[in-house]
Amino acid sequence: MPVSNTRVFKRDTGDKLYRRGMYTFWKRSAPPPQMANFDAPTREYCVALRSVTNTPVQALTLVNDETYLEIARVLAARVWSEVQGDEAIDERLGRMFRLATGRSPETDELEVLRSSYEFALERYREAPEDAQALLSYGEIERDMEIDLAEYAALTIVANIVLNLDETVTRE
Amino acid sequence: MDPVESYLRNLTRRQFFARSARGAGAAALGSLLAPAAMAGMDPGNQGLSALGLPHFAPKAKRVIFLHMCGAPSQLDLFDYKPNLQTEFDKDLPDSIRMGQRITTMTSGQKRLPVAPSIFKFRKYPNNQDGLWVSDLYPHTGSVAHELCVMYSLHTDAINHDPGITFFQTGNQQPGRPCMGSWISYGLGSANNSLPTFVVLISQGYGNMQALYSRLWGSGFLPSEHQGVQFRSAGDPVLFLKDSKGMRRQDRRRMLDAVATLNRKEFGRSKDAEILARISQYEMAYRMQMSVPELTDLNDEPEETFELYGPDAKKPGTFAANCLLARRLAERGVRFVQLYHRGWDAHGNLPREIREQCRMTDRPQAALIKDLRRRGLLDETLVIWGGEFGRTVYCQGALSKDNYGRDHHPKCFTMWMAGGGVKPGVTWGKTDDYGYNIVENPVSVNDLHATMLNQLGINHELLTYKFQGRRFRLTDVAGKVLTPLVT
Repeated sequence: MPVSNTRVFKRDTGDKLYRRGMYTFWKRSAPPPQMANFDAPTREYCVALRSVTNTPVQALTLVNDETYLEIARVLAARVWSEVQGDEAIDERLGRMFRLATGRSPETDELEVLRSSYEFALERYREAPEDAQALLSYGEIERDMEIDLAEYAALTIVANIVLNLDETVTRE
Repeated sequence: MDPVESYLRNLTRRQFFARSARGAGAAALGSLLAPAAMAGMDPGNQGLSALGLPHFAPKAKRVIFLHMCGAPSQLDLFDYKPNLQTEFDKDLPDSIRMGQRITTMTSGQKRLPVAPSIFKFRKYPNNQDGLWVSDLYPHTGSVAHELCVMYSLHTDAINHDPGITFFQTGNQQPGRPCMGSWISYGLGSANNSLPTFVVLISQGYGNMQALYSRLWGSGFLPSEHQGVQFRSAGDPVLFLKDSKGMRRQDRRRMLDAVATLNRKEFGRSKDAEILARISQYEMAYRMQMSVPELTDLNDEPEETFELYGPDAKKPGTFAANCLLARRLAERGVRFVQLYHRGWDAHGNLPREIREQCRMTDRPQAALIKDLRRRGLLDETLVIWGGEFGRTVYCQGALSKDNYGRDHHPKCFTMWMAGGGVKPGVTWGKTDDYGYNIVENPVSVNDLHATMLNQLGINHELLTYKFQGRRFRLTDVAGKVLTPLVT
C-alpha cells in the first residue's frame, strides 16, 4: 500500500521559525501537539463548536514547551528595554502583566509578582549557570546587555504571567 | 443582589438537589472523596463518578487492550483448520464465498486459491477440551487456561482506518469518543497523579498501517478524557521535564504564584473553569514525579525481564509496553491501550508473522502470568485482537512456503483474559474454510457491551447527549455475552 512521503519532518531555522500558527504544517495522522492539546479539531470531520477543556497536558505544554520558554525570555527582555531605570522593577512587572492580560495589576497581584521576582533574583545570583541554562531556549539572540540574574528572574515572572488563566483564556 | 452572587447560589442549590437524589449517603461519601466539589465547583475526575457509576458491582477495575494493528491472521494463529491441508491451491468454492465483496487488492486476481496455514498447531489444556494454538505462539498457548478465545468476531469494516475506528468508537466514521474515553468519563480516575487513559504504541516488523491520534481522542466528550500517549523516546509524556535551569522547587514556587493569582481571578469572576485549570496544573505537577517513577524500571527484579523477555528493557517495544501496562495497572490507571503494528500481511505472510509473533508471544503471556501472580488478573480485563481477520484465499502468488492474505471482516479471532471473564473456554465456530461464522457470532458492539459489563456499567445507560440525541459506545446495538462472564 502507498506510504506517506511527508514522514520526515525538519524544523525550520531563523526567521522562518517565527510565523503565525496558520502556517504550521498539519499532518492529520500526527497533528501538532501544541494545537491538538488545545482542542484544535483534527480536520477529519466538521466540528461546529470547539470544545474547551482543561487538561494537565495543556499545563505541561504552557509551562515547559520550548516555544513558551522562549516567549517568556523574549517578553522579559522586551519589558526590560521598554522600561528604563534601575529601580523600575515594579513598572517592569506591571508592564509585563498588562501586556499579557490587558489590564494593570492590582496592588496585591503586583506583590505576588514582586516576591516571585525577588526570590528568583537571589536564586539566580547564586547560580549563574542555571540562569544561563534557563535563557538558552530558542534561536532569538539573548540580549547580553541585561544583567544575567535579572534577566532570568524576569523570565520566571514572564513564565508565571503567561500561564495565568486570564492570559490564556479568552472570555 | 450581585448577579454573580445570585448565579452562584442558584448553581449550588441545583447541585444540592441533584446530589440528594442519589441519597444522603452518596452526598456524604461524595464530600469525603471530593471536598472541592462541596466547596465550589468540582473540576475533573474525582474517583467515584459524578454520574453515579458503576451501575452494579464490577468484576474488573481496569482494562488493558492489546490491539494488533493490521489484522493478524487467525488461520495461522488460532483458528485451526487441518482439513484445509488437502485444499491447497484449490479455488475457494462459490458456496463458501457467497458473493462476499473483496477488496480492490485482490479483485484483480484471476483466482482465489486456498492457502492453508503452513504452521503446525498444538493443543493446550484449558477448562474445556483444549485450545488449539499454532506453534508461532507457544507462550500464549501455555496460558490457555486463562484465555477466553472467541472465534466468531465479525465486523463491517474492510479497511484499517474504519476498522480500528469501529473498534475504538463503536462506529466506522470518526468523531465519536473511544472506549478509553467513555470509561474515563463513566468511571473517572483511580489515581490522581497519572492520566486515566494511557496509550502505548510499538512498531512491528511487517507491513505497517498508519495510526491516528483521534483513535484515542475523546470525540464529543470533554477532552480531559482523551488518551495520553506515552512516547518511547525522550520524555514519556511530551513537555514533562521542566526547563533547564529550573529546579523542582522553582517550578513549585512558580505554580504557587500562578495559583494565587488565578484564585484571585476566581474571586472576581466565579468562573468554575479557573478552578479546573488550577487542579489540572496541580495534576501536571504530580505527573512530573509519577511518570518518571512509573517508567523507571530499576525497581524491577531481573526475573521480570526473564519473564517478559530481554526486549522489555528497550523502551518502545511491545515487551516494554506490556511491562509498562502491568505497572500502570498496579497504579490504578483505568484503560491502557497498546497498539502493536505490522500485522498486515498481504504478502510474505510466513516471514512477517514469524517476526510479529516473536515480538508479541512472550510478552503477552508474561503480562497474563504477571497479573495473575500479583493478584491483579481477576480485576483487570485483558483483550487481544486486530481490527478484522484475514482471508483463507491467497493474495498474490501462492507457493508451498509463501502466501499472503487479504482483509477478511466476516470472521476473526480475539481473546479475553481476567476481569471476571470465564477462563479457559472457547466461543463461537467458523466453517471449514474459516470464512463464515456458523455459531455464536460476536459483533464489536457485543464485545464493548461485555467489556463495560465487566466494569460494572450497563452499556445502554452510559450515554452522552450530543447533537440532540444520546450517544453511547455501543450506539444502538450490543449484547453482553453472558455465557462468557462469571
